[in-house]
Amino acid sequence: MTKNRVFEISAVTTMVTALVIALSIGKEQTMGNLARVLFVHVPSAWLAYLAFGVTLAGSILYLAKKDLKWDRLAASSAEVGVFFTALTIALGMIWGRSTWGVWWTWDARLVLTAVMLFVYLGYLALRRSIPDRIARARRSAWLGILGIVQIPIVHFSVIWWRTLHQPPTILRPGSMEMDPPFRAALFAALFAYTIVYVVLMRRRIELSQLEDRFEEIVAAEERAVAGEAVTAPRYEGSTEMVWDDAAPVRDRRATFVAVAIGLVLAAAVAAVSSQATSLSNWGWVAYAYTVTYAAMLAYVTWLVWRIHTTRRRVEEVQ
Amino acid sequence: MTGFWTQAAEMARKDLRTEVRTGEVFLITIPFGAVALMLIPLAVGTDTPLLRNIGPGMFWVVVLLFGVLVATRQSGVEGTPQQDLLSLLGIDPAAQFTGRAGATTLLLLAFELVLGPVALALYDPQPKGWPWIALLVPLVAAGLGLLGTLAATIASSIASSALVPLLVAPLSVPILLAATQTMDGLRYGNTILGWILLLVTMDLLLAVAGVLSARPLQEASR
Amino acid sequence: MIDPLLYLRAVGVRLGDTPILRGVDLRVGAGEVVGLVGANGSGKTTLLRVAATLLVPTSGEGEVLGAGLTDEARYAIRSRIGLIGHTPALYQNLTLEENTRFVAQLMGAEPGSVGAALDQVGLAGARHRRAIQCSHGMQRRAEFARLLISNPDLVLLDEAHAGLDRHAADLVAFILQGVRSRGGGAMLVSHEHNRMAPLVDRVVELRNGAVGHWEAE
Repeated sequence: MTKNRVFEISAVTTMVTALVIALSIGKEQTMGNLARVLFVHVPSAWLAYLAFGVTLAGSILYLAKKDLKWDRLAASSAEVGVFFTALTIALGMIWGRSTWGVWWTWDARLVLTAVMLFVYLGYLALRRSIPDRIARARRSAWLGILGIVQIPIVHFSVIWWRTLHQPPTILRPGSMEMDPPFRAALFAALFAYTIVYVVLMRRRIELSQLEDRFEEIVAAEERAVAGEAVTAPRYEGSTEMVWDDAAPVRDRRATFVAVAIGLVLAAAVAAVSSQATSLSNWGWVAYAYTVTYAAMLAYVTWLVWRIHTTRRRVEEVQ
Repeated sequence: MTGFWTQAAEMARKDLRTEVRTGEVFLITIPFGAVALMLIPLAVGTDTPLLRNIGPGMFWVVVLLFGVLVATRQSGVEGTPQQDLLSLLGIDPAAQFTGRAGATTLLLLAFELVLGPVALALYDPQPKGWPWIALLVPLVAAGLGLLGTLAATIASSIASSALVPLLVAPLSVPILLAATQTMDGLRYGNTILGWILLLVTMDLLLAVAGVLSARPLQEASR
Repeated sequence: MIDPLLYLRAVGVRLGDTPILRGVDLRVGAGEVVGLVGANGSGKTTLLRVAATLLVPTSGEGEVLGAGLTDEARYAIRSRIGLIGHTPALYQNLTLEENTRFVAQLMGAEPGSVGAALDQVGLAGARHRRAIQCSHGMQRRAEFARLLISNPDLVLLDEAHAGLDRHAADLVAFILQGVRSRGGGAMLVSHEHNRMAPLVDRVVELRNGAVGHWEAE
């Protein structure tokens, strides 16, 4: 059994265990069943912070050692981090709507999480727009450091701003007194999510390696005067080329399916959200859990698909 | 030689494909717009009635100001060599305009559709009259897409890309008013037909202007 | 084929107050390839753009493929002109194949011609690569593929040899030969005299925006 398999099986097992615990313990005293939303919300938030911490570490290590593996670590973690930040915000909104009746409160923590999301979306956008591998690693490492260093300052500015207006009296996720079963369920979830993070990271780093491999091969060809990709021109009797163009068609179909599923999910979310007033506590829990697992499934599928297509591209040029 | 609509469709497909590759709208402009929506309440205060009041207005302002970036995106793609190529392929300049404006409109529509829920969540404006809003949103996208493409064509081969937003912003006043007044009208039960008609007229006018001016503008650009 | 394919008489171009071309007389006959030389800034690129009908001269007159330089008829003959400028006219985020297909579809060419042309210029293996990931030489080759599809009657090459390997340079000769054999003509700007000399019938020199003549050996 490969190492990946071991991690993946443990991730699924612990996730299922955490889910069973989360749904089976008695309800919480103040929040009732609604509190169960926290078993997906809090671990997502934890992973968001963890992921960006890893990005910071990877960025610093890259600048210190100039080894691209640290850049791959930072980049992978940033993408996983963006995913969990977005999920955290979505679940935070569900939490907000179910407890306070509004989708968004200008709570310091929520604003900070949103800022983090945008900083790292910027980080990913920056990476996409620099074609040169080394320049990309160096510049994004600086942004990776700058982004994190700014976070505490943003944090304090937002908290300061908030307390000047109205001190938060409302119950915030994580600030409640926890009874032991509740705490156990939360720790089980945190543990399971951490393993999920490791699994996602291993796969995401694998993708980065494949991408780098592809770029390396292409760059090597570029250096050769007439590498494999570029051949001598042919002047006579150029035959009509028959190319196997099944691959792009398949890709297009996959994109189409993905967009269709995305639209259906968006419509479903919109439909449920518009019925928010009539949702019971268990309804909210089901909503939050469905969003969480559907999003994770979607991300994993996308990741696997990208690994698959990139591997195919590498094999093609090799 | 190919027909007008084939040419326009090829132009639009090329623009959209470029967007898929670069993600300039989806990965850069849309998040930027979302940040703007988030910054406004930080600056003006976050009490719910206030935000509910200014929400629709802020949404449309952000759509107009940041949507211009969607329109300027194409001036980066079409440099002089590319424009020369299109001319020498014998493509009808009006078809070029139609294709570009079409692609820009589609991207602006996506821009509105993503930012809409963000505005709903942050400002909780509780809009009424969804069927009318469903009509309003594409009309605004088309107006801004046409106006932006027209401005980008006028400003093409001029070095500063910052010029396009300046050209578009003042001319987009009717679009902004029509959008915000329609939302207000729906909320308070006033008649909105006039505003919708204004938008439709403006869209048609811009489309005609863009098609008619395409050839002279192309020939004047050098 | 119309003969001459291109003639210019006393053509002048000003940009603002600056004269770029002054009284240029030029003629490209059917089946003729004319070389154009001159120092940097002597107006070679501007002259090519005038010849391509992309730039309307401020003075003088002329005809390209039978259409006057200021007539509306010039729009109709444009697709018979092939211009390769020094900056590649490729969409940088599209692949070489998509770029070539874009041209083929707009010209109404057969879909199969795209693969054949890319194969002919030796880019079949790189067809799925975006232009931005290609070297200058490869982008040049992709542009030659465009000329193989559009089969223009008047070919205008601006620094076509710059940065090309030996194979690609042969490609220039091949394209010029094709144009010549179908009775078309070409004008070619180059700084590399050794490479240009065997390809052209005669050389024209631009000096300060005006023309001096020169016989090729």
